Amino acid sequence: MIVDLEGVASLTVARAISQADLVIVPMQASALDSTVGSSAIALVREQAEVLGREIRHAVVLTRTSAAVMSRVQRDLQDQLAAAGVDQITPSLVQRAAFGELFAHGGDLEAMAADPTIETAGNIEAAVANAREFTEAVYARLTA
Amino acid sequence: MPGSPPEDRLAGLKARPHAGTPVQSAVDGGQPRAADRLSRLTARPKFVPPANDPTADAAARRHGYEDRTPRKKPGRKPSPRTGQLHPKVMPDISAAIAAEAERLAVTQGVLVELMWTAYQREQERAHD
Repeated sequence: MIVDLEGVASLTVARAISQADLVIVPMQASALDSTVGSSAIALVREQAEVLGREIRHAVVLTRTSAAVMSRVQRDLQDQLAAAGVDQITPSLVQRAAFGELFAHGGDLEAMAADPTIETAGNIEAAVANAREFTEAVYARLTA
Repeated sequence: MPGSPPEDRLAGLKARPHAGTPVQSAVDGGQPRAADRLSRLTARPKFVPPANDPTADAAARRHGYEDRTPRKKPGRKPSPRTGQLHPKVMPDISAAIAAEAERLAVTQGVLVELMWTAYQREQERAHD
């Protein structure tokens, strides 16, 4: 079961963390997101301590550039690595195809298969990105 | 592929279908795709605290996580069993109704029914 929580600091988030097999913290490579994300990681670690069991957690950087890695992103990745935070690779790349899902509905494969849909996005690259991300999540859940 | 755009290099990590053809990925490299394998996973047996475990909640509050469940609407709801209404009236009228119901040795609902009958009778008289 995948629980996608709202982006607010509510007890519901904390309670979902306490029940989770894997907590994924999505984070954009920005100062604001890293502050909020680090708070979420701190909460996961404290919940694990309180409950007396490991709660596996990992950060995934989102809306990253397909072309170049920004200095902010590189610094953030270094800081996360220094803090011993598991980082899912690949990151989720900012792609038009992901955004267009909300306009057309369905999924990337349905969008690619529908000849009536004209997309400005590189669907194949988006599918590859999503597939590799899913594999990385699967590996963590089965490790 | 040095010199090629980075996004092409990323896409090149997996076999790319021809442009314009559906992306068939039910099977990746001889095994079901990860999305299908994910759906077959089950939760691991582990210690799961009650939903409102005070210790876990206290830890969350220390990090600024608050209870944000929507507050219930104020006021008493109609009884689902009898459909009885629970109207709000001014305190002095409420006390008077309670005292009169007690004097008549009936429930306040019975008194409301009597008042409704009297009201209807008055309405009929006004229309005649």
